Amino acid sequence: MSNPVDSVIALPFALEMTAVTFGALSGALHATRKGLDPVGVFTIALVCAVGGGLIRDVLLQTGRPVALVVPTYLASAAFASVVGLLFARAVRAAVPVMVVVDTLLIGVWVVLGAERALVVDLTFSGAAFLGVITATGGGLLRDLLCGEVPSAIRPGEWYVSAAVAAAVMFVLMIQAGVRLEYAEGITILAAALLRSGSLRFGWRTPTAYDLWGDLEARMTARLEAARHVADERAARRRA
Amino acid sequence: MSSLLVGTLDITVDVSLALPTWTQLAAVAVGAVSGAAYAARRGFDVVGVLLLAVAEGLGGLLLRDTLLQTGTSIVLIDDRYLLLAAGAAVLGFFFAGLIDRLEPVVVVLDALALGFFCTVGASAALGEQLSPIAAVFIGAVTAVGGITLRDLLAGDAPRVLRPGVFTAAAAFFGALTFVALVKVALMPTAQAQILALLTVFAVRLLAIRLQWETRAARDISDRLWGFWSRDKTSQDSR
Repeated sequence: MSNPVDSVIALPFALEMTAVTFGALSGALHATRKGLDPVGVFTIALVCAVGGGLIRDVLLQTGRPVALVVPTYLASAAFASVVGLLFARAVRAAVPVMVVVDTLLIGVWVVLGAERALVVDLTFSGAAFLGVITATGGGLLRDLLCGEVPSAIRPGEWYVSAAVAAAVMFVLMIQAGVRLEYAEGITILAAALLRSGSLRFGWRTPTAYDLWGDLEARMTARLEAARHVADERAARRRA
Repeated sequence: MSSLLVGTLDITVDVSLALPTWTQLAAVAVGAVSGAAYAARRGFDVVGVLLLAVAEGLGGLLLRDTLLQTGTSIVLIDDRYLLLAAGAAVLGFFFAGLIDRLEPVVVVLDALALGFFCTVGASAALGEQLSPIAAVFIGAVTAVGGITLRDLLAGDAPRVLRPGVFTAAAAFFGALTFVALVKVALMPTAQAQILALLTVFAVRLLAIRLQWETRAARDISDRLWGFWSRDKTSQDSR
């Protein structure tokens, strides 16, 4: 099998490396905030950078994971984690910038994952799923390694939900025959808009709504009211 | 006896199963609905409901296909699987209360799905010419992989590892039954699947009814030889 990256026409390689580097940096920051030791920081940074892609490639089973085949991935992740480890305070000063970049990168990850799935002729649900996994798998693994309930599944700001929406959107656009470049651009923009909208306006992801319980309560209330009316009417008739 | 350990390389195993594809979809749907309801009950957000539905519904099959390395999993190739999981997530998001109320039904369906998955896993492994021991392992992993992934993602210690009503034990027993029927009794896989499925179903429901529970590990080293405890008491007295 040829170098899998070559078969993806798509996004420029430099963009992918930027995504990996930023993933590693934010992972290193998270780990230093948790007070992990250097090995821990390094591990979490690597997981954040290449974890999502590793899960995707393992699930796809189209040969070895790209992150192991192309040495640039691990090299840039390692470089970024060392920077994050040694210059945590300086990097933290750049957090506002990183938030913006991170917002833009959600869509990039989604596109990268979904494209690699589409290259091997996966159907749209599989491609969307792998897009989401690529974008969010790193964060998921990070939280699990830190022994926390993943922030992905707790109510909060839109992150994974933005990725899900963007992935579905991307795959539907490809199915509808939108040109790849446009579909990529729109997806990245949409994910960034959803994410920044949630940051700016405080949108929170919704938790389950017990429709059944609600309907039941309403029905019982209505029944109660009807019974009450009937009782009153009966009382009046007796009087 | 050697065929039990080495696996049969000379015979191509016919692993045609009795139950049609829709039963697999139904089993996935059962797992996904209970995963979604679990997430809703725990107060996770919409993504959590979706993720845990996917994890519990499809986790077992994904793990099996990853371990067997048989190419991209059917779960990712056939749109119906992920769409079913998404549908189950919607159901769990809005009707977790109703699903809780229907617990007896859910328990029965879960037991059926458990039995189904362990036979599906074990037969896929046998079809790949794996040894019977590996097939039992794959069967059990396929059956309880979904619940385990769900618990891990939800930040709990996996339920199947803790003492409690037979779940993994039932799945293990079912996979063992299936492999034994196919390999030792040389029964056609189709019939073995039905028998093993019913076995898991019966074991699981009886375990719930009669409260058969797995126990925490007990140390019997002292009962075998007092050497260790003697050593300890002498240290204590010092």
